[in-house]
Amino acid sequence: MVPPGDRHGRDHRIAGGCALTQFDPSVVFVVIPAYNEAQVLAGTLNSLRPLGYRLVVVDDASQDATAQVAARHPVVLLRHAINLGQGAALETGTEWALAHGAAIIVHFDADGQHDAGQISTLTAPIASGQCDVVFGSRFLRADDIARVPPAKRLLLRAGRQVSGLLTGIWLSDTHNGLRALSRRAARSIRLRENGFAHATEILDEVRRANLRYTEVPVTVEYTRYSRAKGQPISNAFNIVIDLIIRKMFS
Amino acid sequence: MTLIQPVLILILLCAAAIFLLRMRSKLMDRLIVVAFAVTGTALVVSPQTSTEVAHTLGVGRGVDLVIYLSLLGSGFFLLVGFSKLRELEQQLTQITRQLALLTAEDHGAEHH
Repeated sequence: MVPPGDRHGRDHRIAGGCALTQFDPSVVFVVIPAYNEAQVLAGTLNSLRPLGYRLVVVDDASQDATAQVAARHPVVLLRHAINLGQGAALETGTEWALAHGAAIIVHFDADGQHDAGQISTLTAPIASGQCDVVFGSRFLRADDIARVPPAKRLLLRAGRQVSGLLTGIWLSDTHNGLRALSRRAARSIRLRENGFAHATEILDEVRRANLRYTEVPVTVEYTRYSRAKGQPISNAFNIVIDLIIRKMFS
Repeated sequence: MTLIQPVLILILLCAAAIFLLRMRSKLMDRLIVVAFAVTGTALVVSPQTSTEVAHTLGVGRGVDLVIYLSLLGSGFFLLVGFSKLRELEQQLTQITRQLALLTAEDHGAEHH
């Protein structure tokens, strides 16, 4: 596997364990896009709550009780009147966070597959000023890789190639929804891809704005719910089409 | 005059009339539509004109030339329509986003 950054003769990764700088968790805004996640959202929010981050839930016009569930928790709730997609929801949450003094913005999935405890791993390189963008990766540790269902593993590796070829940034896990951005990075990255192609769009933007990035290992839990709810493998085709259109029309 | 000719002319003129009467459009669009209707009608009335033009361009039949041009034309309009659609999508996104930000509900305070 080619480590990220190598193609440009630079290694953006941080060597060894980086010192965890102490900072106030309330400047960390966790943006949680949610579409029909009423069943699991409470669990996700309860796991985040004790950590002291500001929680921003973006309800992407869910048809179920997602908004009502969110409203019972200490969150800021932003509601899309029509369903726009995950990329658009992240952008809306980011805009709110930036307007309310966020120092670090974390993208976090609503469906409970991410581990709230690992957010500090992502924010540390930003808090210490070493990086602007930190991507979570399921492919940096053997036991994390083993958790990924084999078909999904194959698909994600293919996605990595496509994103790498299109953006010139080679991550081990492009389509991982867990990532953290510094205020500076969040301000310079504008997501115009409303759907799932935003994962590749972020890389484009990172490259364009010349942001410093790294990957950190994260564990993604594949529950029966997240596997049923998550992106069907066939959707990869749609993402590729979106990307090609994006390259043609932007 | 064959049977197909009045039918084609009628469809062409109806389409142009509907566009001009019903669709709010720019002067440029209207001129293009009128030009299309006039050219189309002329070609239907005298098909040999298209054959003569086709021969000078090295195409066998007038019908073939018309088909080639209309294929290219529809492809072009498809692209124009598509980029319009994307533009509309972006505007819709902006409106939805601004609405969400304006109606933000802060549920933080009552729980602390």
